[in-house]
Amino acid sequence: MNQSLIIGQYVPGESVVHKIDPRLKLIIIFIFVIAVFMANNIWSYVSLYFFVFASVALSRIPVAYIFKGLKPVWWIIIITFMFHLFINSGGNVIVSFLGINVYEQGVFQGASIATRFFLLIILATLLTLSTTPIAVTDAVEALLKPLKKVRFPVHEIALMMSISLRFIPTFMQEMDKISKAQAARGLDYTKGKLKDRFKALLPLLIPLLISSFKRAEDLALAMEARGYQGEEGRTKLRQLSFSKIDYIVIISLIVFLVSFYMIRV
Amino acid sequence: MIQFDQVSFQYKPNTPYVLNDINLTVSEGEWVSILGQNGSGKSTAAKLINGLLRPIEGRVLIDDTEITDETVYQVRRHVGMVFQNPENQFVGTTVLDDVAFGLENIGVPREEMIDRIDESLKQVGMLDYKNHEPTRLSGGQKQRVAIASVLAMKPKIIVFDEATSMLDPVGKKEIIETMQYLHKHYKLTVIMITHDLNEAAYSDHVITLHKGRVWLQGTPRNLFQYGEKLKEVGLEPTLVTKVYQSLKRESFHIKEEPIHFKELVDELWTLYLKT
Ligand SMILES: Nc1ncnc2c1ncn2[C@@H]1O[C@H](COP(=O)(O)OP(=O)(O)O)[C@@H](O)[C@H]1O
Ligand SMILES: [Mg+2]
Repeated sequence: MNQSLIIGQYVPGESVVHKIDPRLKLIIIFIFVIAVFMANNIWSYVSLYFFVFASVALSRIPVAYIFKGLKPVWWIIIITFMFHLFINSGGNVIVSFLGINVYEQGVFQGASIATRFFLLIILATLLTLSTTPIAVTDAVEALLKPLKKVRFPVHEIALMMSISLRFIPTFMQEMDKISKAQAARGLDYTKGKLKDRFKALLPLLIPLLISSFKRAEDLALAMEARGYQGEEGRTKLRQLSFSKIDYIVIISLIVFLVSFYMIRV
Repeated sequence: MIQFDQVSFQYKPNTPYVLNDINLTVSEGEWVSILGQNGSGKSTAAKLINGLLRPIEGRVLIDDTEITDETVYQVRRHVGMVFQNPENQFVGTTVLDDVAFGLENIGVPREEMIDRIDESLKQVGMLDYKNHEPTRLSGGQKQRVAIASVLAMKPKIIVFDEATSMLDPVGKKEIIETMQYLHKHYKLTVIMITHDLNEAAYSDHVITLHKGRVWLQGTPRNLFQYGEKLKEVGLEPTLVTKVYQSLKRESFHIKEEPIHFKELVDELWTLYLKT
């Protein structure tokens, strides 16, 4: 459990998708979000499906993993689809049952909104499956760099992200230890009314909070002892650089975007 | 190398002084233990050595340079610190990142950084764990990474603040052996804070703090002679000392007080041969 948390959902691999520079991955997702909302006919949607499933295929990550990522949102997608199906009354009636008419436009609207959700979530899942959280952190730092000009604390935010990643498993372990210790004293936070459960949770959270302050103090001291004095004069071990794969991806992306733009009406 | 010149320290105004008029000198390449019970001011003294704290009165000098706002970052490069809790001093998400952290801070160029990281991980026997996350390491392994992180910065002095106290016996032994190796090979000055007299027995000098004052400064042998009196300053005499003291009470004749286990064994068999 702890292990899976520090590396996130990451599935190690050597595929093209794994090797794409994390900055480029984030940019692609950003562009894709825009594209998804610009699609306006069946063929443009088909091309988006093609794009997403081609990416999934290239990543060589088993489809089962990808669908696991969809699990918590399936019902949102279905409800959205149903909602539009019954509400929208444009075009011809396709079927009608129990006195409810389903119109052409309803189907199209419902399908397109559901598709947007579906594709975006698959692509985001693919990002987390093919990229380590620390690589995402590096990419965020690199992409936000221009904001430094307006005094946005980019380095500090990236450092916070990586320290959080570092300490999440530690806190999970500690939580586990505390909950066992409290269970041994007869505490049960899995039964009873919501209010009681919340009350029972306090003896877990308070020790965790106290120890996290101690950890923060120790960590700050350790960082200072190792010469940390903010961003100035700092070098970086982790460096992102574009490789041949990235250039090929960029060219393919441009080709895709141009065709996508022409397919639209 | 390290000099405390009439150093006094209190954490807040109008609170008792945690350290009182401390005068100390540690020479280059020495292994010095600082002993004392909880709250005697050991960690405070350690933090004064690399400028994490500044004295209220007196001066701290490293290589004849007084620690001031101007010199503190320079001094910190020469003074590495390893703390007590292995978990809370691990900054990076992996071993590699953790060792890199200090080097990044002092602006080491990337290529040099890569070499230095490998070199220092090799010295502590952790090179094979380079890409491990801290959750996959034992306490002793984490402490060795902490030592590598310090070592990569090429310090002249390493201060260990009870760095073995949270480890199991195997982890303790690993760390002490690593320290001894580094002390020998790099002629590093080692300051070892502990309240375990067995660990102090390895050192060239011991400094015992009690209630913020230097209670005794001398060799381990000087200190061990105090026997049961050590309990007054919160220290527990070692097994070797206890055996020696009871032999003495039974008026067996032993020339010199043994401080290491091996010395005691030698004394015992010569004693046995004589009787
Ligand atoms: N950050 C702090 N603020 C206030 N008092 C402190 C702080 N740290 C330590 N002290 C006090 O200073 C004294 C010496 O502490 P310390 O140097 O940590 O001792 P040791 O390491 O020998 O156990 C103790 O009485 C302790 O309560
Ligand atoms: Mg202490």
